[in-house]
Amino acid sequence: MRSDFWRNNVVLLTALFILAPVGLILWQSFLTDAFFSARARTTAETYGFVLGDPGFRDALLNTVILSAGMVLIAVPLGSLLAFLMVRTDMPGRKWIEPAIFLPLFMSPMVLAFGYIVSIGPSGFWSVWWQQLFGGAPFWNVYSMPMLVLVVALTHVPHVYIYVSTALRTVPSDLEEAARVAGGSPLTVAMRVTLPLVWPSIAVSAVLVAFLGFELFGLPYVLGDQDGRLVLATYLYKFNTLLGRPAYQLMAVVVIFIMLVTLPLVMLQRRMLRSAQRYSTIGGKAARAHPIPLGPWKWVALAGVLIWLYAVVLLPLSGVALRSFVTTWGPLVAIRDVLTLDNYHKLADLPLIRRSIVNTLILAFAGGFASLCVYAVIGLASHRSKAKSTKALDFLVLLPRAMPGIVAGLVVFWIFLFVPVLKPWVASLVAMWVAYTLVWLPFGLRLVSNSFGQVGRELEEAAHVAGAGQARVARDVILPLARHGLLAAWLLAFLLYAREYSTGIFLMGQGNEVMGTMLVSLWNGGNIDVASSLAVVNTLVIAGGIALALRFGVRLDA
Amino acid sequence: MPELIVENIHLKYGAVEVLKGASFAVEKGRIAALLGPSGSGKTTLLRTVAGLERAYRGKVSVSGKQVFDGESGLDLPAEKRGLGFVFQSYALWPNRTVFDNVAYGLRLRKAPEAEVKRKVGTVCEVLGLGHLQERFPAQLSGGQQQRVAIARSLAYDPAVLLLDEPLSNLDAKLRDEARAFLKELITREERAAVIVTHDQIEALAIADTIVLLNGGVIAQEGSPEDLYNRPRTLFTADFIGNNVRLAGKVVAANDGFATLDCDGIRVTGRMGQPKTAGEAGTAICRMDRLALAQPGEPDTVEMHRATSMFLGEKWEHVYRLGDHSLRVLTEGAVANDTSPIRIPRESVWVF
Ligand SMILES: Nc1ncnc2c1ncn2[C@@H]1O[C@H](COP(=O)(O)OP(=O)(O)O)[C@@H](O)[C@H]1O
Ligand SMILES: [Mg+2]
Repeated sequence: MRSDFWRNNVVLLTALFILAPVGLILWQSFLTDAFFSARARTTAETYGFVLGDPGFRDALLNTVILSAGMVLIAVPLGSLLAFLMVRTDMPGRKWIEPAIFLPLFMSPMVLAFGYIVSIGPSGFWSVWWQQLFGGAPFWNVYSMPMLVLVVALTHVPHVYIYVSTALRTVPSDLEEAARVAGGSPLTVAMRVTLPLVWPSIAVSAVLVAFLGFELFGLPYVLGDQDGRLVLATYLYKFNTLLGRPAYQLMAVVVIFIMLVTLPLVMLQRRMLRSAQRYSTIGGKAARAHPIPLGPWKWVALAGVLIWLYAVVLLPLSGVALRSFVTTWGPLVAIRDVLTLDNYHKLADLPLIRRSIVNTLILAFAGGFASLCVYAVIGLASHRSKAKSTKALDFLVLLPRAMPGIVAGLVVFWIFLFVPVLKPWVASLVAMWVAYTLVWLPFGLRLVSNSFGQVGRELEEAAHVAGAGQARVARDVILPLARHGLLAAWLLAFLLYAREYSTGIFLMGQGNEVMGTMLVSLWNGGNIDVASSLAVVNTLVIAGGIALALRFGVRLDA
Repeated sequence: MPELIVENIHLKYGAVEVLKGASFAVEKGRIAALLGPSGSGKTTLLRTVAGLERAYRGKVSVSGKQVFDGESGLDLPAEKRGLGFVFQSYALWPNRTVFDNVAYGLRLRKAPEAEVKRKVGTVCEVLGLGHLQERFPAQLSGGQQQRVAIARSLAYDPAVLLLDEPLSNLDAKLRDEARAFLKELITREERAAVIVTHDQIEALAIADTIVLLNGGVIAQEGSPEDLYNRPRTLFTADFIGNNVRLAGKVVAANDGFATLDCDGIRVTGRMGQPKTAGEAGTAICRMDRLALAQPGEPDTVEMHRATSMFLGEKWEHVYRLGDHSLRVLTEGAVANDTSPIRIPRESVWVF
């Protein structure tokens, strides 16, 4: 309410941070050449070129198919999983719960490698299948249906988070009343529970559709062999396709991507608001009495375990195994090819070693620095009724609608564009700026939520006692929100350690990170080192997850 | 000059006008009670004085210094007004010990640590918290938390103390003790205090002045005796005290008294506003002044006893006539089934 001055300044800076990249993209999309080139003129032909390119139409079609497939598969499965976990007596729910969130934190690059080395043409399972049954396996990891299946299964947790949260607020006496009236568990689930969580299911469907448009790693690895592109990989192709980066065309593709994702993000925000209103009417979460499934509970458990195997264990075990062998193929016996060489190489290659160190620095210190940025923005909008902070609420939808690879690209451009930043273009700083931009909406939501938990009167008590805004923040808000901030830091660590697409365009000499390194190793066909690096990446993330669980951080934030 | 002067405060939440011109003043060493039904804007008014809400019109001055003036746009933030505030929730910082809670205001004012120790020690001693200084708020009882909240607001010597329903979270017995204690403390420490309460007994007991708030405007302001004995509006008469409300028609009005006929019960009372015969009117009768009477006494109504209850110290009887029922207290049991009930005209107000 008071001293709106610094609040406005913070909001202004944030707006600049968000709008500058978007403006640059827009401008670039109407130029004939790169924006820093002297030959650049304004034109609208770039749009015509991209729209006329059959490759673009293919990529768009593929993206739509992927996105639709994800919705059709992940939404029912995720909802079912949530129902089983929250509402039924399926055994083992306690220890399955944290495992469900694992796919959220696993690098898609690692997953993609995992599928290639497990069930790819000469993967472990394919070879074993051949040895057992003779003949090629019935699946083809590079096929479109397989890609749809993989991306859908790995996005089940996103649906689970929304639906399970909603389910927990549905009083179980509603179900019990229906059961007493003679409904079987299935009827009750369909007739009573489902309608109550519809809004949340719809929200998660929009989210998954939107994530489908952001996909990069999985389609890049699993679809590229046949030249099957999605929008994000199509964008990436333009970097090299015409001999040199075609920035104007890339900008146009980015515009097209955001024309789809931005409405989806806005739609999701609106739906989320009404869904929340819906769920609060349901009242307090009552003590839940699980619905007995009878013998079916074992079937349910088996289903969940198969899913977990498919999205976690299968790819991870594949990568792990691959990292310990020199080669693999139909006539190879494991004990002949066992080796630790792949790990020695990690240490021997300076590039790789640096990528590991850089990732740790970026995830740990960079995560903290980003948290500080989010905290300042969060404090500026905390309990503020000013119009500027309302606008901020809307502005953060823009980076939300920006896939990581796009954010990396525009931060790259900004660093090229602003003379003082130019020397830093291939540094960890640029990397950090891009990461901070990509995770701004998420991080801001986390810190704002934890600030919101601080009782209003606790702040006011300090004000009345004579503390100005900065003191209240230092003495009351930050100390009381520290657990939420710690959680946000740990989550930032996990996400930064896993991040791979944001750094693609920013990677240069010296600022390599594990995620982008994996992409280049894949490009270079260096599966040996890629596998061991993937294992290390996974171990770092696993360490972060263990730490987070140890501190009681909720992974589904 | 009063320590705190509040003039003509107007405040809106969105389009809803919550305060519509509230004014009052408090002298040093005096306690004003902001009394009113729930939702009448007491908390909002107190918060406006403290600078936690922003009025769009009005003036507030503390110790002779203007802190808010809607006209000139002067609006000192809460931290610059130098007031003490006790929140209804107490709002103790859970991550600080009692000592650190109480010391906070002093430390903000950069008092030397020795001075902080001495000051906090004294305040805690006065409030009976001496042995609890190292505890955390969660380790205290409700009454102790309340005293920490008061200690925290007193420690840095604010001239004006604002308390929002400070006693409402205490249980009944503790509340009576705390009330007496608070009154003594404020008088002795020579602060000007404003206590918000919705409990008229509390207001009557603790306050030197009562400011009765109704729907964002001040219904009446005065000493407790004033409000109790000389209500100027129907709202005041009805809100203060434990009353029976009778609606009827004025049959006679003279000498400042009016007689109402309320479906068979005739009551006479002081006119709170001019009335003429034939008008509709409402009579407010103080319940505790109703008594059994002898036949033929003035101001009596013959009523039928419906039931009697023994309350320990007294008997309570319910008397009926038509749709009306009155509760009457007596020292002893009553044998008669009907009896004249005296409704003394000095304890009845007609509006
Ligand atoms: N933050 C707010 N926004 C909108 N209306 C409010 C807000 N706080 C209080 N009100 C309204 O203002 C009126 C006065 O509230 P309050 O001052 O809390 O009353 P009291 O303390 O006398 O019970 C009530 O009608 C309440 O609904
Ligand atoms: Mg109140």
